[in-house]
Amino acid sequence: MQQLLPKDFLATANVQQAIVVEFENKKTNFMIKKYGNDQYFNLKNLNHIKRIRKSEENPTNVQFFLRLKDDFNDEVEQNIPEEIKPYSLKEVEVAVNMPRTKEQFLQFNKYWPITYKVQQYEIVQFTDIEQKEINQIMRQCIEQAKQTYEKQNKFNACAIYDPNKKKILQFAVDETCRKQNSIKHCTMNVMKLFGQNYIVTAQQKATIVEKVKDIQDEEKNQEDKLQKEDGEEVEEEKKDKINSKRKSEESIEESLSSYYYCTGLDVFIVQEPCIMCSMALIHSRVRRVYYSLKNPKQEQFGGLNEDLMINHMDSLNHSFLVFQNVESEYANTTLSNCQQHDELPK
Amino acid sequence: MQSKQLQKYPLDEDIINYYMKLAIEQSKIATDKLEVAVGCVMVKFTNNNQDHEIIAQSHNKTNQYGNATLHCEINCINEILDKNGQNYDEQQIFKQITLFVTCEPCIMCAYSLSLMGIKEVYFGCYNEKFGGNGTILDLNTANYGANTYPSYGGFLEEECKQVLKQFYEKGNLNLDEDKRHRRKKKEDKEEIISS
Repeated sequence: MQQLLPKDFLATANVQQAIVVEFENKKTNFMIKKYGNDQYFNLKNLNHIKRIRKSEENPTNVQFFLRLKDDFNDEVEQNIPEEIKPYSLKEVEVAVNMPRTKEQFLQFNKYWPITYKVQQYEIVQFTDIEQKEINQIMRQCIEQAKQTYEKQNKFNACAIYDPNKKKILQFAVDETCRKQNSIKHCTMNVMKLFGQNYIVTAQQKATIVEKVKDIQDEEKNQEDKLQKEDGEEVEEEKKDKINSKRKSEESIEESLSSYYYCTGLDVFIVQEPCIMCSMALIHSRVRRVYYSLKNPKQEQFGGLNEDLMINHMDSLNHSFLVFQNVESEYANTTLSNCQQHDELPK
Repeated sequence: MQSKQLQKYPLDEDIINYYMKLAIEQSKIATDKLEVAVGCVMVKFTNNNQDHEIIAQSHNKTNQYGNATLHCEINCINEILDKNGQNYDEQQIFKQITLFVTCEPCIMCAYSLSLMGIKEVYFGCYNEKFGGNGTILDLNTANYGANTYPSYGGFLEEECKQVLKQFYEKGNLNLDEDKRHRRKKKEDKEEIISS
């Protein structure tokens, strides 16, 4: 299993030339106070770059970052304040892309000093138990996929999993059989079934609350009657009653503690979801997506791979973490077994 | 991409406006039912665009069924395919169907239309968050392994926007108060003033 990371996590340093101004280190304070945030020397998208460093050649001097060489012109030079004279302009190398991992930071920092914010994108470390559980759920999905493949559907199935209750809530399989209704992908099916079985809409909630009130009122009436009829009750009966009451309360609570679409839930899919399904997962606000096999790009494009990370687009209102290659060996062997089985009778 | 704006659409503007108005009516129905105010109409054009009849019309039903994927386009597709029973070729059906929708199809719907092989799409306002027909991704023109289709935007844009605005001013009343993005600010303020 491996977490799908945005491309810039693996990027090497994008080194560009930049112009710095070198002057005596006595005047550092003045320069930073007056021009640290000045528009003439603004860093635009280079906020991770440090403003100042010691000169390597002359320890009594410091270098102040002005601009990239491409943005540099005479106007910028004219705006260098007179107070820091004498000065000299120098060309240095700087890594302009932001470091996302510690390794990148160590590498990029060799050029011009930069800052590094830890954990811009959560990298998840799994314990052995968690890993085992994830693999087990994926195996169940693969079994379902095998069954639907035998009915001439695509080898694909999907599960919604509640990580808090540690429980699979809903399975669904691909139903694009014979190219009829080719939007019945397993992800779309699972959302439909999940909505039917688990989501309590506002109207339903109101009716449930009313019913519960009615039932509670009736129970109270009955209790009052019983207590009037015989004041002494056997203790065991009392206990039983209390227990049953608790159970009914729990079940009511469960039915009312509705999910808002799939907020906070994980989705397991055997094959990488297509663009439509990826977006459906975003609309459903899932927490994490685990998939096993990458899309070979023969029929439909996948939406969750290194090229097209729909889960990580800036304009969208939700994002989730993606883990690929979960139990991929097992899935591959199952799929190839199925395919061989198909070919034999012919 | 450049030719997209220069390209003229094949239908008369009167016909487009007629069907866009029907789509807007659907979006108004959605507002009444406290659903996200987007509506659409699917129309079958035959005989060289001379004959046309409505095949399906729908609005968003995400709250009604607790399913975030039930956008109006998906509802229409499902409705049409359910009507046809068994043994049909969906590509043949959708080859003749044109979609009129008040808001640019989202990435999900744009790709589903592409899978179906729809004829054309006309939409009202642009969708700057999820737009799959040119705003965020160009699923209708670029090759993503499915069909491509022409898509034209900006018809009755202001009216379409108005309906959406009215909906979002109210906020999504189907949600619990704490899950809403937009809470009852105005009423709170009024209470403070009155108290």
